[in-house]
Amino acid sequence: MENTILRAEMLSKTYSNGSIMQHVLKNLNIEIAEGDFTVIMGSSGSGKSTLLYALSGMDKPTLGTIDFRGEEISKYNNDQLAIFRRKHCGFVFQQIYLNDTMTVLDNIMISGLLVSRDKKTIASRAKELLHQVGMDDTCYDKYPSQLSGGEAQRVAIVRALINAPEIVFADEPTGALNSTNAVNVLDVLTEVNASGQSIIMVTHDIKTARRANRILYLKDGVIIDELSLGTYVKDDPKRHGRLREFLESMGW
Amino acid sequence: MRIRNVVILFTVMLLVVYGSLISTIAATQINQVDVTEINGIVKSIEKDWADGAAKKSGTVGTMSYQIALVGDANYQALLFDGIKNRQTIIDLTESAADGQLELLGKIIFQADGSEEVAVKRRLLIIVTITFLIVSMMVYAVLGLVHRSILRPFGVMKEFARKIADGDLEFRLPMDRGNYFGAFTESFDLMREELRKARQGEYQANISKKELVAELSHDIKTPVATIKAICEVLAIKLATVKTADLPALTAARTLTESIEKIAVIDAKADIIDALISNLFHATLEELEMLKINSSEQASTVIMQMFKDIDNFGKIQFKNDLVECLIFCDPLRLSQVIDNVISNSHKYAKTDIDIWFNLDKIEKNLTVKIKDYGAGVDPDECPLVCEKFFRGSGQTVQNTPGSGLGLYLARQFMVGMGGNLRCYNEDGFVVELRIKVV
Repeated sequence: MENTILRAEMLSKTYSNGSIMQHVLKNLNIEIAEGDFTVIMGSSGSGKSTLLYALSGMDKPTLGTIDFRGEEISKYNNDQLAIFRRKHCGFVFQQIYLNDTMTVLDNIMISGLLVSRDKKTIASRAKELLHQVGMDDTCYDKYPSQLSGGEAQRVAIVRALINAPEIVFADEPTGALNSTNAVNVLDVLTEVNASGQSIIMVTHDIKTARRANRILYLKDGVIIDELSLGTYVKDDPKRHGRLREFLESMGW
Repeated sequence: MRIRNVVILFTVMLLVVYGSLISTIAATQINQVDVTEINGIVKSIEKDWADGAAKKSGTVGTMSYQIALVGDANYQALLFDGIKNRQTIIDLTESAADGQLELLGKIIFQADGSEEVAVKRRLLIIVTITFLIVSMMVYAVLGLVHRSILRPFGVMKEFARKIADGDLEFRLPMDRGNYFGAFTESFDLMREELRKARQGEYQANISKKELVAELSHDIKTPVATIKAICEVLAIKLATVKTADLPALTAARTLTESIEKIAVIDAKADIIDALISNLFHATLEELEMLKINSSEQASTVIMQMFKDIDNFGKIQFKNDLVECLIFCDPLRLSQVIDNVISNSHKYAKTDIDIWFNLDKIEKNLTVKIKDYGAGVDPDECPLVCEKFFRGSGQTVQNTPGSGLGLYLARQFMVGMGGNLRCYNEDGFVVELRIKVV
């Protein structure tokens, strides 16, 4: 694949409890191209989140290799992985995990300061990003408890983007939001992707999955099929039909 | 035709014959007297008598008569004779002057015997035909009984004799049409079951023998390894004891010895597992070696090679791709033990190992190559056959059972993979392992 940013080969993840071994991921081969919006779907327990964490370097695979732009990150130790994640990855989770004792701006800047010491640049980038996601100046000094769920998630997305990551990993980012907020958050992610950043997202929601240009379907730790949807076009019934047909054929 | 139908037909025919016989007899009228004709004849005779033209006997139409006059000497004799022969006797009278009728004698009408004869003949014919029909029916029933009952009994008797003689291939001809059809089918089913049971017993005996041979072979392999390691240990420890070795060398020797002891322990575990198999097999009488495949990390293969590399001759020519494979670790280690032991036994050269992962076909191939004489190319396809041993000098001079590669291939196939052997500047065994 051209412009491969992330490649996993024979990726396996095994959890063992005494003599009982559970193979959650089994010999997965995945290539993620630069600028891809990849969605990982599958039933509960199929290994979606485990795959996301393995690909993002948050967890180490048991077997197989993962390389990021040709660099084998599966060989990295924990410290190297932490640096890799800070520099190249952004994370958005279902649980927002904002620090309640810090303002919105501080919550974002603290992530930026882990990579760069240039406070001024980070602050201006944070503000720019907040504007991009539809948050005005009044939110800078608010605390997370003063934000709605959708606003908090948008702040979390800005925090994930502050270091201009090449890949954003999202685990059910709209899982805890109402439908209006979910659409806003997805619009933000779609814009982020349109600006060239790759997104790998795990979701159960078909509306969320429509945003992707590529769907991977996981079953019992194996990718059983994938669907290429092309660039996202809003309210395209043909695209929706193809996705629904694909998911139905997967027994979703 | 079924016996029931024959009996019904037989009964119907008997009734028909009986009915026609009865109606024929009932309809037959013999010597019935035509009173009008007799009266006419009597009046005619009486008139002729009065005219004096009457004759004492004569025939009118079909009836002949004789007149017995009262004054005749044989009057009584003729009268009694007529009565005896059931002849019609009418008075011959004449009107006297006083107007009274005077008896002159008797007119005896003689009966016509031809009608009786005809009736007799007809009855005779009917009785004869009836007798013939009944006889034929009786013979037909007897024939049917013979065909449907007696003959099948004879066949069954012969069948029972053959079965008793042990000839279970003798098939009992079946005819569902007769009363013994169902019986013969049941008997034939019994024969079939008996034959299967005997075959099963035969197979079970063979399987048992093979099982014991296979397990014996499997147990011998780790025992051979243990023996070899013990010899190495004995030499090394003796050196530590007797020679005044530098501390570092002694420590290394001891470390190596401890590693070897670990190998002995591992092999003892394999023997233990095999003995468990044997015990299990004895309990269940017929239980082939079980293969319990599961998803395993491919790295187990490296450990298996390291465990068997007692002579330090194994070299890995490329890296093993880490992945999940589908195998039974005990059986796979037996396969590797067998292949490496063969190389040690017959080639005594270095052993090179290559790994190749085919992601499309989902196979991990392990190529194990030694640099010995290999096998005769003609024998290559046979080396994995049961009890086959090569004709080469080295093979003939080395003890062996011819089961190693046979078992190895059985195990590989059982794990969803395969085993292939060929010559390539030496002898190559390729293990194809299924990738998850």
